[in-house]
Amino acid sequence: MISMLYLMNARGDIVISRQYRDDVSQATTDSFRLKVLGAKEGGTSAPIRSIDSSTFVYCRHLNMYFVAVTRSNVNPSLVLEFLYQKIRVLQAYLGETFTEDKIRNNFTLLYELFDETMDFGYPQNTSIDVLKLYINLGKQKARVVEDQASLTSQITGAIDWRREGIRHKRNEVYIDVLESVNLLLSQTGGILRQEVTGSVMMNTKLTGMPECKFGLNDKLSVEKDKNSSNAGKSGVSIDDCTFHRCVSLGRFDADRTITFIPPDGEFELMKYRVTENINLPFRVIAAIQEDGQTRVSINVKLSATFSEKLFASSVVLKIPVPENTARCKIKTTMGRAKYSPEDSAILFKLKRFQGQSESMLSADVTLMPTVNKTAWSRPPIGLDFSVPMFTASGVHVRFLKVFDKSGYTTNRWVRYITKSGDSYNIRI
Amino acid sequence: MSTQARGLQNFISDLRNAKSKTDEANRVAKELANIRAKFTNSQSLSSYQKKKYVWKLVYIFMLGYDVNFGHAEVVSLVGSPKYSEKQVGYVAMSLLLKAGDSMMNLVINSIRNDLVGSYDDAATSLALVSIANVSGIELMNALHVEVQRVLVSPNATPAVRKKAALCLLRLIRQLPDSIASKEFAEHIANLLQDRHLGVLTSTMSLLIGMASKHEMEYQTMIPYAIHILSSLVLKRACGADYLYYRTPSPWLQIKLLRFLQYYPNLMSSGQTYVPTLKQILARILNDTDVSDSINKSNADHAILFEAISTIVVFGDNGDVDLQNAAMRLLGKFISVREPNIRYLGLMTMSRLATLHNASNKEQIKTYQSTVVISLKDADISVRRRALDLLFVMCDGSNAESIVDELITYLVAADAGIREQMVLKIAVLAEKYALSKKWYVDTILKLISISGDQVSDSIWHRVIVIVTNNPEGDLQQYVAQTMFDVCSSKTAHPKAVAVGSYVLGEFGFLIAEEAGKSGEVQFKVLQQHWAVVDSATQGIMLTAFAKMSNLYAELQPIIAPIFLKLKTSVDIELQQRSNEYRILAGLGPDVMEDILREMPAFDTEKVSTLEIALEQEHTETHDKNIFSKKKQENGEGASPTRMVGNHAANPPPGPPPALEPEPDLLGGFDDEISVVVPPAAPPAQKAAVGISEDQIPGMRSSFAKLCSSAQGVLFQNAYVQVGLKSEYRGSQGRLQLFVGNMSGTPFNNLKIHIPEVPYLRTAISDESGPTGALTSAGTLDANQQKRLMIMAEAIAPYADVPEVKISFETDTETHTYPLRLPIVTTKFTELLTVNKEAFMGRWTQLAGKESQEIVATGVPGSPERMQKVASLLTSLNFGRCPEVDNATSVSGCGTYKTGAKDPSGKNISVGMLVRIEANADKFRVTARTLHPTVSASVKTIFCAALKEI
Repeated sequence: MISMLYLMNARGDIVISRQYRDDVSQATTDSFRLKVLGAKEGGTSAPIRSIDSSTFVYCRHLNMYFVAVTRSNVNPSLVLEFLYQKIRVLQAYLGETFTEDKIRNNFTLLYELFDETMDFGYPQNTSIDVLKLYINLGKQKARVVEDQASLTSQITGAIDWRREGIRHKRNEVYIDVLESVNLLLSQTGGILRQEVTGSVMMNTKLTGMPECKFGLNDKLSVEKDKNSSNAGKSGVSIDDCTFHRCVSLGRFDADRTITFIPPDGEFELMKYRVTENINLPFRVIAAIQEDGQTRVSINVKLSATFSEKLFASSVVLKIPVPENTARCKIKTTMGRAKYSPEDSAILFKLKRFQGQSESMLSADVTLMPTVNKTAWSRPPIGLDFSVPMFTASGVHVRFLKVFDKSGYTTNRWVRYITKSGDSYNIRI
Repeated sequence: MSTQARGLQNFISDLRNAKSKTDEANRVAKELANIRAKFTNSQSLSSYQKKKYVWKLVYIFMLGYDVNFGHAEVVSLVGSPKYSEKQVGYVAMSLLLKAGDSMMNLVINSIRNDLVGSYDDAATSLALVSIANVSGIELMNALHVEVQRVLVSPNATPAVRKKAALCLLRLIRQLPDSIASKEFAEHIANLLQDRHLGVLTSTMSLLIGMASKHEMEYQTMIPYAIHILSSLVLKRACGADYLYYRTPSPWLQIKLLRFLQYYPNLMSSGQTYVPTLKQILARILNDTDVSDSINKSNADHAILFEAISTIVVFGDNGDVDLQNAAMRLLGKFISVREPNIRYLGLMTMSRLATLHNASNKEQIKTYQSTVVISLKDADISVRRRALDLLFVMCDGSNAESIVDELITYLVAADAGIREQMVLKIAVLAEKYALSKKWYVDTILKLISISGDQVSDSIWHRVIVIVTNNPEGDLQQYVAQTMFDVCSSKTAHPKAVAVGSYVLGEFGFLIAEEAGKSGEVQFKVLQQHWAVVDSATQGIMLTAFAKMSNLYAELQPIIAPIFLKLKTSVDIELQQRSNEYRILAGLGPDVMEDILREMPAFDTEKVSTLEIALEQEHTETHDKNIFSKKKQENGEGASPTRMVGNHAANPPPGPPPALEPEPDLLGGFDDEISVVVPPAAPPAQKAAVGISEDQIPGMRSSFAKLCSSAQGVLFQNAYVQVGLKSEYRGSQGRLQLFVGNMSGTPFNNLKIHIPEVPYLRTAISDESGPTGALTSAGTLDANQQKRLMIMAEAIAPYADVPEVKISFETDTETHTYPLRLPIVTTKFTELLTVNKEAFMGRWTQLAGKESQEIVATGVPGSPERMQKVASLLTSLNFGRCPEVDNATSVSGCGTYKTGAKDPSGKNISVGMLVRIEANADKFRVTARTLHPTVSASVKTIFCAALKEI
């Protein structure tokens, strides 16, 4: 299990450390500093390094490294998940972008959190909601815990993410479906890779201990319901999904219904991934021609394929040009474009882009002759966008039912948004 | 510059203020884009703008970004008539342009104009400096003549001359042959008569650079150097500009002294300047005082140490008085507190100590206690030097006290120096051992104090010495001592390793004594089992095997150990335990035979420890006279080399006792490979290859074919392979006969010669040349197939080419990988030389030998020497009988290759070989210029000698 946990800044100083077992010494942090930070490989190579029979699992937050040291054969994804959860906990206490100074000013809090979230190297309770019941420093202001005695039973009970007796004046649920599209198209327009990763974020403000039932237009559950009401509609085939731990997986396995008693406040209900039948929101047609050593002519057409009732915002098309570009003459039908030497690309920006519309860009690029002639690598065109109320996978929320003993009515709000993922690239 | 480029300043301050690396990179990308945009129409740029952008490019380049344009602008700036532009151009050129850039050709002309055409000193100097800095081969080839002309031109000002001399120095470092030394010496002589000390200093740098390569050509410069030196030292004639804290030009003095060091025989040459030189050296030695000014005394001491180095180089030919004076002075230095001076003092003294000057030797001993104090200095480099000095000053009379002193100090020494100390103590202890027991005790002490630093070779050496000295009670004594050491639970793992070996070998010598029976010995060793590493565990297993052979009562205890380790994760332990376990089942006779005491080790070898020491001494500075001397003189001059009969080259490896199982293929696994053909072919035919019992026969027929032109290479019931060969110079023509002896036809007969990099080969059969190096076809019963192989040597090589013959009969597939006897000696041309030439070459190639001892098992006789001599001739070596006595045969030959050297001549390598007989053994020594050739010649002779 984890022997030691520490935070190291980019210079290699230990900000704070906590040793859970004595099979490692402080000196091991030195080897991490020298071999990983010193080699400037942090962030570029694997987050797990074995040095002299100690294994370092680390992740980075801003300019700090969260490092877990172990000498045993631990499950690395458990350790990484723990580290990320740890960061989330600290963000809840110290603010989204907590810095080294913030930590230095809150050592007592930090040590309390270190002790509470891990014991003898085994992860303990890392739920923010629960932690803030009894650790009331930093951003989490003291909350009157009505009954100290109930605390123990809650933490150790079956539903440790929600305590009894929560009251809200208005019972509301906000659902956000966020999707990001990753795409790689070949020169000829063939799809090399396409993928949508989505997550359902929820913000619940509900009284009591309600049980919720949630339904997406997932193919399996739609087919199951076919004989009842939704006959005729086909669902989306979701490749894989993971749930927040409040969802009872037994029920899901048995009849594909998502039932849960939600934690109070914001949480991520589920994550999913879709790779088939994706509605790509944009089509890009590019003709880029190198004329001899000193000229490149570029023609790009961007058209939106989604419904004209919707619009995309902050669309940025990044059209690469050679490194030795001297001048660019650019013409566009809509939006603005300019040469950005930092990216060695032409950035074509459209603030608002109506569905079913299209825009053209043509550019004449003059190149500077160079001493050693290397062929241009022709990197892919990149696209950045976000389209509200559109899901590339076609997923939508079919229902959310809330059952509570008191039988109150609930207001439900649903939003969708599709963004470009890390890579939405078209090869040229 | 502040007035001339605001934009540049802003740009630099932007970069300085950049918060992160990416910010900086972005700013640079933006600037580069801007410059590219400007340079696209560079005609419209003003000279100010051009300069500004080139400065920016230079700055960006210095930050490590790639700048791959703008060179045309740089070239135009170089050619500009204005100094300010020219200067920018030259700076940018020496940074941005690399040797081999195509732009280089454009600049060369501008540089040449500045060099010879211009009367402007500044321009000429710029040109000289940039030639030195860029130094591409084309640039040098194009311009070195001009540089020489500038240097010797009578109109050149001193400033230009200085730069030209230094520029030329750079050139000759890269193109050593660009200057005809003989003719140039005259020019140098002229330059050395210059009155300007700056010019002299630069010229001396050049001269040292040249003399380090061809010292003989510049011997005539010595009188000039001594003349300058005498005017500086004796007359103190020096302009005020070149007085450094009242010392006349110390740099020039040092350079002059260093130049003189290239001529170690100077003192004994009897020339008229010798007394002057003595006087100069004496003056330097006597007149150097410690001064208040630290700069003054640094300068003076630098000269002094250089003078002492000169005295050391003159060595035994030099003046004894000077040496003694130097020694006295150094004695003073090594006791001062200033660590730098002490360091230099210790270092120089250890060099001085290597001279064979008796009074010197005695004198140096008086400083022993002072040196020992330095050994405890806080500064590790001082300690290292002190250690070196102690090592050098050690001889028979003071060895014991020095070794004791070092061991006492070793306890307190830190890790940085321990390893070296241990090595040196081990070498001293062995070299000056008063008795073997003392030596063994010393090494044991080393192990107990600093076992981690004791390398394997040190304790291997102990074992070699103990094994080789069965006389007296040494072995018993060692067994006794090791028993005591290992009895302690806390014995060092290295000690346990030695103990395991010794008790395994000699444990029986003490087994009779009370409380030291075999069983007790076993227990003493076994208690360490868990804590030692696997190599030691391996030695322990061997010891256990030997014990179980000696003491029957231990067999039931030891057998389970082997059984348990049969499945050890450590492959070595697994193998040993398996072998020993099976050995026990082979019956007592076999066991007795194999587990017998180890025979004496071969003592014709130098201690490997010294080799380790030698390696530490290798210095990299090519101009250093001391390292140079060491290379030249090879064995004789090196101070640390031991004189005596323990000595040598091949790495020792673990003690041979570790491999009791007789190796089926002996040491010659590489000679013939037993090929187990890969999994049976589809037709399920049985695979047939070379059977193991044929290998010795094949080895001998291979060896015979190495020295004869025709014979049978391989033969069995199916196939016979014969060979006929003819060689001329680097080329050979071979005929390979493959005969079918089986009575059934061979299908799918393939004869394939894999291509090798060192031979150019082509084969052809009856039907003409075959495309690849393969011939395919069928061969009927009792028929013969003939194949022509042409081979030309193009590089030295040690292994030999192969021919792979494969065919199928109705029921079997056969594969025979055979080694072709196309060995180095086949491409050799006989060479007959006289005694002087032979001995001259022999000593010249002293460092490049390859040696091996072959035991034949046949007693020596004059007839046998006759055979050896004829063997030499049959391997194409010419005998050189004048250098031989009754037990040795020497000869030489030339290895011819078809490869061309740059001048278009075929490359050939001269080879010398000497075979010395001693009882039933031969020692084969091959010396050639090329290590691979040496090794290959040696191997061929060794194989051939076994067949005599």
